[in-house]
Amino acid sequence: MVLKPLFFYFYTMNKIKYTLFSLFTILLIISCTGDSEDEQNLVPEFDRSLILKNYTENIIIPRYNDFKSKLDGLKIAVDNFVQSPSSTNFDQVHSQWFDTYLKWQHIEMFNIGKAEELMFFNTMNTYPVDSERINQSISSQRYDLSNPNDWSCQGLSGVDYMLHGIAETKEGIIQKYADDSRYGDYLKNLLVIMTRNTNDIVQDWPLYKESFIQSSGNSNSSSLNMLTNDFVYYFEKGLRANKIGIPAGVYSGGNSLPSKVEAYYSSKNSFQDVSKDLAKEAVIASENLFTGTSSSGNSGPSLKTYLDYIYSADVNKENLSPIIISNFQKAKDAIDQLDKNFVDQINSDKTKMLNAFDKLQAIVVNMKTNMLSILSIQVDYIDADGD
Amino acid sequence: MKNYKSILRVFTIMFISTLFVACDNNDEDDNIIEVIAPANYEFLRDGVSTVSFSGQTTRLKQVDAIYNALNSKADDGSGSTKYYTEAEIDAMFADGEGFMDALLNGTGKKVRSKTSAGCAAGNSSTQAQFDDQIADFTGNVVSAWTANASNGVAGKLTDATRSIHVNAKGHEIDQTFVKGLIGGMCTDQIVNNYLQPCQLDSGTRTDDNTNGVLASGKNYTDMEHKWDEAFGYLYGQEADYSRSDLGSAPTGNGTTLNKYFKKINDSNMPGIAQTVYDAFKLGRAAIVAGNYEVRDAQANIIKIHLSKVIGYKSVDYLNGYMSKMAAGNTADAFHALSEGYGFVMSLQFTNDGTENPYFTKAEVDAMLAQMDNFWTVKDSDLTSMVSQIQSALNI
Repeated sequence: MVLKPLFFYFYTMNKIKYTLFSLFTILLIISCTGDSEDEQNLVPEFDRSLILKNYTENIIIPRYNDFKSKLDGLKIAVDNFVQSPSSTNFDQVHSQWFDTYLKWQHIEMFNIGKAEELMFFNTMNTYPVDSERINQSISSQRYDLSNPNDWSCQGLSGVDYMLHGIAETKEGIIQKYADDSRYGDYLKNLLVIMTRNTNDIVQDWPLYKESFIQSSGNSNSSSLNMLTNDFVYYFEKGLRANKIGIPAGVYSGGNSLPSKVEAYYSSKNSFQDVSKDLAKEAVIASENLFTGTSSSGNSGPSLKTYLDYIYSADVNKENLSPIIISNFQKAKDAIDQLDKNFVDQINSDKTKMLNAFDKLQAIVVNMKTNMLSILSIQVDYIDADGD
Repeated sequence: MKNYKSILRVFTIMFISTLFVACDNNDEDDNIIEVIAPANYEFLRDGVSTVSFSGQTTRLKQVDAIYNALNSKADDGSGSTKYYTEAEIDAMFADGEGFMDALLNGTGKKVRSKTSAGCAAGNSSTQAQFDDQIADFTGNVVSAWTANASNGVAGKLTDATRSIHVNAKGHEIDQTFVKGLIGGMCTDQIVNNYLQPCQLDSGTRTDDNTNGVLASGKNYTDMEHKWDEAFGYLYGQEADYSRSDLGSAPTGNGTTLNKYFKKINDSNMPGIAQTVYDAFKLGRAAIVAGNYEVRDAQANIIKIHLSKVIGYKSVDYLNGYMSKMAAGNTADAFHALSEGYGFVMSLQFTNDGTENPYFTKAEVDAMLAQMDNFWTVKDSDLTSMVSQIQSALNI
């Protein structure tokens, strides 16, 4: 999508021009061979492994640990609630679920290593949920959720449905758990899967860490390239499109689809208006990753300092990082303008959602087009056609 | 230097022959009515627009609604889940009734009667293929909406990129159906119906147009209107058909031809949108001027270029299937092949400018048979289809 202007540029040339252009490019490559050797010598002066070290030690691992501890708390709360489905126990589960969901926003972008192997983000936060399939699984007591069709039946979004969607009121929902143990069994099973996968990933990072940091080269399989691609992909798809664009109707000819917001049932049935908090947290998490900032607020080597280094070595290059920082601020401001409940926001005035989308889109362009180009990182994914 | 001279000679010859051609034209000056296309697609009689294609707009919107219904979504585009019966979708397709948008009901406009129904080459057995898809969807896919799909089993199929609902052969029917209608209705109605003498010149239409005899109670001649109806099958969902940049920047609104026309203009064939638009404009001006040679020359440009849209998308989606399978994304691949299946089906509704489709119905049905079961289709068969299509359409 973002590459369109580039494609357009190529394609608008007729064949003759294209041929000439190709010839010219070949000449250019031949004549520039000497220069590119120089660049290769220059760039490694910035030690990419320092970014990987900061990211791993100060962001990824601590953020995973934060998430794990919240999720463990959620599991305990769920076990209590299923054991005795009271209003107090329900409130405990609900608030643990929300805290866990907030922490999740800090790790969804790390689709790397064990997480990638486990399709972790697909199993944790695929929405909208397939409520019909969940209902069938509940009644048939089917607990093997390994088929990809079940991604939309589990995870934090699945728990949202189990807590806020199986009936329309808190009393109605508690009653279901009290009357029919299959609801509790399904919910507990979701937590078993979520905690098992999370533990696997948390335990794997200390083992994976050294090789991850040492893979500091610039190839498609080296760590910074993978991590940066995952980050930009997440920002484009998981954040911009899923949280804002799709429900606001950007991809459906302007027809808004409010049922596709994140944590839909909590908003729809008025348990808690969480969509804005989750989206804002995701933008903050993305900005923190860009600036290399840990949860304690300390920042270290990052994509930002890498861009700054390249700019300081050659001021003819674009000074991109201040632009990105300023665009993050604009995105946060735009999200601040939104109702805490995106379903309500979309139904009352979706132009504000579209405005937030545009602000996030500006960052997608900054990162995917400009940043990856300045850092010479190849994009390793293709945009979906969108239909 | 030698080369230079020969190039110069070629140019001189070309220049002189151009002169001769130009002189020829001058000789016949008294027979030829000069046609000048207006800046925009707007034609007035006594200060009032003569352009009308509301029936096409209605049908295109009806197709959008059917597309939603074939994905168990409310047909008003709201995105909420709604399961339709065969009778309900048949009513939408064949009778133009039962849409959630009341404006689409009771208009007398129907999609099915304009499907594979060109005056030049209609075929009722192709209409039945669309009926069969509706029956397959409502009978087999809806009932397996949450089940797991596999070879021979309808159901849901998910990969890292998308979830789709397929029939027992892996077809995602909203895709096969609507991509089939891009040829079967939109393109067919343009290239094999409204741009054809059997519509434009039928009955007394030529004389009426030449003599300025208007259709009963209308501000346009029948021939003008037929041409506009062709225009409407491509541009019927544009909010403003007379805007000055319609040629360079179609919106791609809707789910049918305009959507892919825009995509091809943005990728495979930049400029195609302007070419087609200019031909529509000049052809319509030629009708106003009573110059039917210019009209038919523009009709041919439109026929060939819109056919290329279908050719390009067939190729793109067959190739897309193979690369997506290679990447391990089965659902995404089946989605692409469903689109490809519909576009291949559409190839029989193309027109090469000599009133023949680039592929006959028999050839198309043979290709569809080869790719019938998505679970077992062979890349080698698809690759060979791709090269056949590329070579037939010269793309």
